[in-house]
Amino acid sequence: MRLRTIVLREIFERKSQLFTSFLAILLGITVIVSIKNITHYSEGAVAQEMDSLGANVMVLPKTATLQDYYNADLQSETIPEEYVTQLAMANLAGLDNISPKLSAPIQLQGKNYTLTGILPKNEFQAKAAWSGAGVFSRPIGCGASVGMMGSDDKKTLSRKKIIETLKDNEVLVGANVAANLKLKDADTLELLGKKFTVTAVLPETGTVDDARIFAHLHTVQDLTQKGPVVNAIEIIGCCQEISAGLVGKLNAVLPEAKVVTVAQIVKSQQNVNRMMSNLSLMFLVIIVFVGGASIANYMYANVFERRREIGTLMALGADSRLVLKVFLLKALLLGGAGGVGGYVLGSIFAFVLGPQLAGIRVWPMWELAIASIVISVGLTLVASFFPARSAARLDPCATFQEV
Amino acid sequence: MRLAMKLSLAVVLGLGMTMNVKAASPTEGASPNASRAVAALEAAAKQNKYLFVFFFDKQDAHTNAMQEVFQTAMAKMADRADAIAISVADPAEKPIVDKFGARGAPMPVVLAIAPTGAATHAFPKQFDEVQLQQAFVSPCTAKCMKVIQDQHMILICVQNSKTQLNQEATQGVKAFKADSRYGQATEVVMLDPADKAEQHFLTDLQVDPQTTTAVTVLVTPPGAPVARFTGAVTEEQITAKIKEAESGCGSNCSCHH
Repeated sequence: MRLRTIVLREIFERKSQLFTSFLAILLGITVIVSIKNITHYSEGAVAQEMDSLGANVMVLPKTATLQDYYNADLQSETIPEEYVTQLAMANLAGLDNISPKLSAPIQLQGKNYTLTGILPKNEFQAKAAWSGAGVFSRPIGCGASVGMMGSDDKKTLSRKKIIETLKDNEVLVGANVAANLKLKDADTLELLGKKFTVTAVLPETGTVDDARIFAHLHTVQDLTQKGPVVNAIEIIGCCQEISAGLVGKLNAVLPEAKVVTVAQIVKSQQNVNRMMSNLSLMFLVIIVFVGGASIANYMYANVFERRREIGTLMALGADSRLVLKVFLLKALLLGGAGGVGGYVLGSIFAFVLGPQLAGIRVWPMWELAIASIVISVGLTLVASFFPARSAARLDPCATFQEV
Repeated sequence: MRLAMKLSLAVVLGLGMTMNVKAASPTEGASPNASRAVAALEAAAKQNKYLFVFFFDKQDAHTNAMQEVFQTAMAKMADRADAIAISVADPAEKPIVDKFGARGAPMPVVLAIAPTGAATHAFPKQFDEVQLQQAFVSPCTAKCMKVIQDQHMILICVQNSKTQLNQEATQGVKAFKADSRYGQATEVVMLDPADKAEQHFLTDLQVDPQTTTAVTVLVTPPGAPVARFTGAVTEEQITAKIKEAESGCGSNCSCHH
């Protein structure tokens, strides 16, 4: 009888115990792969958003959560639009651009999108003058807004979060919206009963903005009947002024709102990712103990119950190395199957749950396949080594005496 | 019902204005859908007067109280300013509400508009007579505010017959104005440092009124000075400062503190 045949027969000898041991490894690896996979793409999304986010300070309702900064304006709580005027009139040095947002979910051709109201730059900049001629006494160089002056390029919205002008009947559509609805510049689109002209299709950003349709803030307020409110105000603040306490000054101007820097929001997001990472580490520890103990128990029981067969095999000429090989090969196959199965299941879970739990697209990672197999096989080999060694050390005479 | 109340308040306040202030009567002969505020703005500009617009959205005790303050103050400034009350919900007044961005502002709000068409000050929610008087600015300030509100840059040339290097400064400014990239979006404003009316503006610009050398100040929307050049200035120097503002802490700021 060949070694492979012996090993395969040995594997299926105690099916119920084999199944529970296999399940312990499979589930453990599945959980680790899912969490690691989602965390990896979530961290990537945070980095990408950091790069694409023009704003560095956000004004949110007091009750708003900070876990998801790029969806901050999708929360149901609102703040009064007059906060924009208060900010513009505060005459704070370093307040380069202000971008209020009001968002509402909409359905187009059976698919869900977000209609986001924004205020073009020319409208909030006009309010800076409301504070009087003191606007000219700001420190040299801070709060200057030269880059987009005179620009009518609406696509600046995707990178700088601001556009120069936007009419009541104009919309800008995200890349995904345009692709799904086959929209291009100058097309018309009906939203909540009002006809709009697509003034620009925004370049793909890889963020939630790709699934947004941007219209004038006041138009969105009217269509959604939400009144003069916004969900969030994004602020592009001068770096040196932020360091010099701009956030504190903003808090003083708007004590009823929550003023946070993007760094704070990102930190919150990173904390969630770190928690997920720690969770996967915890699962790893659990799988090592529970899975390892389960396999060791299974192997010991197997060796104890089959010591007569082992004794017979050794009496027929099999040496200790062959017995050791049989049990270790069995562990290898068990670990390999658990690793591969856990990786496949974990990747499927991550692919399905990633968009729902973290709002991001998740793809399988081959690096995790290697790690899964190494961990799973390593664990089963270590857990099986001592039972296998005790089987290999069995004395055939002693086992026959028990008959 | 609510709109009717707002419109009635507009009429009441409008009547109040014409009774207390020597305001123009823009509604006379105008069509019912015509904007009273636009007509009042034109009339005030023709007379070289300011127009104070009282924007409101609802009729409540606070609005009424502020209306009284407004009427009293405007009566005392009738020789310098006209006044009008506008409901932000009045469809006929949408052009003026949109133009000055009154919608969404804290209400009621008084907006002072100079004869140049520039909004020189706003007084939201709570204000008094003394504050309203602060809305008047110097002619050069009003001119610069108009340029800035039109989203243009300004090169303010502070010089007179007593300052040195006037020509060297003016040459650079002219060359910059001729630059196709920035010229269209730039206005040049001359400012005499000895002009008594402009002393406050000079202080805001941080330019010494006693300066013996020409000073050129580059200001971009929403009113922030980008650079100040003393003496001669070249087109390249001005362009370099703009590029610095573009790539630094201006609109391209990419720091995420």
